[in-house]
Amino acid sequence: MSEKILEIDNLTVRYKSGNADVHAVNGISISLEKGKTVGIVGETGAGKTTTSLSIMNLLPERTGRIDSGTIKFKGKEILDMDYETIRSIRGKEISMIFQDPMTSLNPIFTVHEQLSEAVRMHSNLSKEDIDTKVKNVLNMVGISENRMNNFPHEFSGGMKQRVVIAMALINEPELLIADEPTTALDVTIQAQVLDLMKNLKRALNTSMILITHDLGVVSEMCDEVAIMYAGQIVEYGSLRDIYKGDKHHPYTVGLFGSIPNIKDKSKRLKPISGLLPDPTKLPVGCYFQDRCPHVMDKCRTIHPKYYINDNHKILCHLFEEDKHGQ
Amino acid sequence: MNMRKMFANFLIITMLFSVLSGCGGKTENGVPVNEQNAEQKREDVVLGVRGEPLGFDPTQTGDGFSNTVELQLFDGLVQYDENRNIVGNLATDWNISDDGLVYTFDLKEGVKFHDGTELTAEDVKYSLDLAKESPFTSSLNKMESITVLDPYKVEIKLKEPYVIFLEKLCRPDGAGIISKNARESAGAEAFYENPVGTGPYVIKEWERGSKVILERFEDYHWGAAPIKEAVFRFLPEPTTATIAVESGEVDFTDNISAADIPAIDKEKVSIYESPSFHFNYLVLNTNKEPLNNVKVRQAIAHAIDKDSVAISALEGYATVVDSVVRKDAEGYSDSIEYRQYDVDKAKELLKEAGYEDGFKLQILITEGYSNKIAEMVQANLKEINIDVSIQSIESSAFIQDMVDGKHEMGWFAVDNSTTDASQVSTMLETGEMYNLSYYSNTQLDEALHVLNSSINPKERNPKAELVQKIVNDEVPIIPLFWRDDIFLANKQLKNVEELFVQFNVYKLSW
Amino acid sequence: MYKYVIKRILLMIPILLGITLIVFFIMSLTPGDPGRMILGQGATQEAVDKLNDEFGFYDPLPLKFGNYIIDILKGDFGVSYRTQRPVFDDLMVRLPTTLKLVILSLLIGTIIGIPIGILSAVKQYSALDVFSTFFALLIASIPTFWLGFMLIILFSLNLEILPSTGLESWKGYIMPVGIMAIGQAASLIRLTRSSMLEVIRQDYIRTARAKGVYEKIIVFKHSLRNALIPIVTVVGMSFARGLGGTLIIEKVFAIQGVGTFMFDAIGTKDIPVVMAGVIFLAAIFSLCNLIVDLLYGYLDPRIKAQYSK
Repeated sequence: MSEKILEIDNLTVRYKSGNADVHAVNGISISLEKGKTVGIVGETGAGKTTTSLSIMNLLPERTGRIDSGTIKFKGKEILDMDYETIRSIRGKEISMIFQDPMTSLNPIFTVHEQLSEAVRMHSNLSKEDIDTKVKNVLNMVGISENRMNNFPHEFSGGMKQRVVIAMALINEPELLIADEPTTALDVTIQAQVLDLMKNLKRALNTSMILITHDLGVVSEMCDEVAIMYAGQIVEYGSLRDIYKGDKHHPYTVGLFGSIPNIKDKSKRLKPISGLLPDPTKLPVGCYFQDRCPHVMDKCRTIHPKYYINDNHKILCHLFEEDKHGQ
Repeated sequence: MNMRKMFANFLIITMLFSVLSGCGGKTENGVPVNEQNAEQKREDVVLGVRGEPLGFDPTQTGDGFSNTVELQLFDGLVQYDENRNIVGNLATDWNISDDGLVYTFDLKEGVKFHDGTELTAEDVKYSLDLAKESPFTSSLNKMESITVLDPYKVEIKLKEPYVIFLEKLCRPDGAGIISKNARESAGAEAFYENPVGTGPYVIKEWERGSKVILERFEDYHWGAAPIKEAVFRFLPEPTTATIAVESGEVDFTDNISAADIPAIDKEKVSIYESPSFHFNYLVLNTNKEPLNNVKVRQAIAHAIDKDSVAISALEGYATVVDSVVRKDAEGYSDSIEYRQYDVDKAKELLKEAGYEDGFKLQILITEGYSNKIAEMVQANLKEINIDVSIQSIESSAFIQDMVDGKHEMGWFAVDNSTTDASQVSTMLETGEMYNLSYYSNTQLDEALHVLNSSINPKERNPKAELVQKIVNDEVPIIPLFWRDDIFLANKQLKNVEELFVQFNVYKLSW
Repeated sequence: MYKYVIKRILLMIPILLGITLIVFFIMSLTPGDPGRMILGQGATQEAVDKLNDEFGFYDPLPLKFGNYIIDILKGDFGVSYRTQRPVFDDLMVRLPTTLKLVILSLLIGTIIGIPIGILSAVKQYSALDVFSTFFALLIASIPTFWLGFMLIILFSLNLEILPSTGLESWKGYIMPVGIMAIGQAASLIRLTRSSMLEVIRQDYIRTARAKGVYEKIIVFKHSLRNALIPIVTVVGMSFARGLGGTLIIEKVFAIQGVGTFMFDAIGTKDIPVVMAGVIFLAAIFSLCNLIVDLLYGYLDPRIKAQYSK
């Protein structure tokens, strides 16, 4: 068994708000091996971004509350760390790429300045050394050195995202968290960026958490997949388990079913009816009860437990009898 | 920082503040000085005035602020004593011809100008020639010629008899005698800022926008002044000046706002009051209905409670009058039954005029206390069913409108530096620009003419009586009051009352 | 970039011309004439007419305006009707006083206002934030006139530690500058706070934190410089407005500055002074506008790019 770089255990996160608290993450556990990529899939509002922010303790100070759970990075508890310790990890050992490249870069500093800053915050290298690093990483992401002193607004969306990626990788982090890195880009650019990420991952042996709602991206990049719904992981497994297996959480079925298939002769898509439950008033029992085609009475009163088969977990009453693989 | 810490800090700062407020002593000229040695008498005085002079040439300035300073720098041929009688200044003696057209003056010998040269009749001629032509001293335009009879004798011929001519010569701010030599050699422009006169003070320094400092002329022909240095500080806001006197930064000020008086600490300062030459009255436009009806005008006169008006407008710092001529003026008649405040009589008169149910009337006023006057008039006239609407406009527009005859009733005031009955002609003579009642009465005109041309009291007094009778009968205007001058001064400053006669710093001492 | 600057400077000319024309026109509509103003009520109409004629008061409007513009181009702003001195000289005597007041109050107001605003934003809803917002609102609501006299009564009359008028010593500056500075500080606190809050919410701040940038650097380098953009505008225009807006303070504390200069001139229909004052203030305003816009460009490269187009 190779070393675990990140272990999240039963994490619960709440946002405080005047009227009612938002229960964004409701007990999730993820275990990531070094060098592997786990994809977190779910609708908007499922709690994916909150999870990723929690890893580096980047939740908004006033409103974000981690109510329970542990997050261990390389065996050390993140939530116990003091400010300086976690600051030194951010951007160096763990890096994050955010969703919207258009707003992720500070408009008044050059690309060179923002990249060098990332280095400066974690080392005492000389100006020349920093310069070299900047040039190298720009080359890596396919941006010409000559554009080093340009401002963000002088780049297109795709190039901006490359800069963001460069900034995340310049200190060669061990864990990269990518929150919907290609969602805001158009399809052709998306492919380029994904390729880039794949190559870099291979070259640097970076572990990665990839958050997306795009199942296509998952299949290209991930080793393991976590399907999130209403702040919980409703299904977790290897790429094979999720894509080729025959047992699935009803939500997963729905997700796959709503992908357009060019070979399919049908004229309409099959979306999942309904919306996520109100995170301020989560229901008793299974959170998926109002949208599940297989809902039973039990689902409305008792919260389901995990059915586990090897490393494949499903959170659903349907598989209760098969608890131990039968 | 938590709440407790912040509160503690707040307490500390408050305590520091209270400690600091115990410190500090009296200030002088805005700069704190040590306590004055009680035995050392002060030789300087700080006066707060409402505005800044433009220059110091009496023949080229007409504004009050320049005039105030000029009064200290120059002398006239004659001057007022403390009882407002006319006595000699640069002239020792004079003679007036019977027809009132020729004035002959004997000049004092050995009078020195500020530059050390001696005064002669040439200087007098030079000064009065300038005054004669100047638009700023239009009352002196009545002089026809000035002739030097000998180095110490001057003859002035008038175009027509001018009853108050001698009073005009008491004003060094118009008829002041300047050095011919100094002005001719320096040129008019330079002289404007660097004057040479015979007066008790000279200009030491003029800090534009802030103050002008005068120092005493040691060779002044009546003896050096008790006050060595007089500082005129320009304080446009009356309230600011009032506070400055109370705090001791300024020793004297005039023209304060009557409304500020009740709040003044009488332990710290002395308040002086005296009637001024500022005459307030109501104008009734006889061209407009129903003011063209004499009974209506009479009714209005009876309906106004003048005492309340004076109190409301100026906290009572005014002298209420019945007659258009002041009680202490020459020619005042006490045998006329002047209209009194009598609401019943007013109602009766209105009824006789056929306006029992009243009517609408507009009163035109401008900025300042005239607003309070209008409000009181409005309240008074309501009692007799007259609905008064108050219209207040900006001062230059106000004068324009009144002169154009756009008003029905209006407030007005004149200040001719005199109480003499002849000044009624500016208010009521046919064709006069400021006859805002548009009143025309040949009998009145004739009487006024005599008042203006004759200097014989036997001729004048009956005419004065006639004028007062006509005004009282016909009510083209309603006399209200003569405003008081109010001075605010340091308790130790002496002879402040003498400044009511004329603003002469020479009279002040500690 | 230079083209932009030159274009802006050239634009100032029609603007100033337009303003001059409008004010000239308005002044001509108001009643009253300089002759009567100067010679007073008692003077004869002939004397008044003569004086007016000397001033060219009865010339037809276009001629008056034309002559005026020609004189200005020669650098001659005319002579004050009231003081008979060149307007320019009179203005220059008063300008340093007003400048001192405005610059001092702006400086102090900025030094107090901006840090408190930053703190309020960074520690939103804390006690400091609540107090300072309340305080800022309170100060903004108090009329200057009233505050001025209240302070005079307190410090000059009752406590006797400050002079009530004038700028004789440094003590004389404390109250007028204090009042103006507090007003500046109050508005800057609110502005800085809201500007910082907006910036702090931005994604790029989150990125910086995720990069491991120290909090202090996030606040001062990443946030503040972005937040400064609207602040710089306000401060710059405060200076321009301040030069003409010190009237009330000047009246209360008997200070002779540009404010009373212009105000009194309007009352006495001293047209040369009013015109010169308006042109001067309008020019300063336009210049400040330009400087602020250029500073914008320096602070925000996106704007600079726009200028170079």
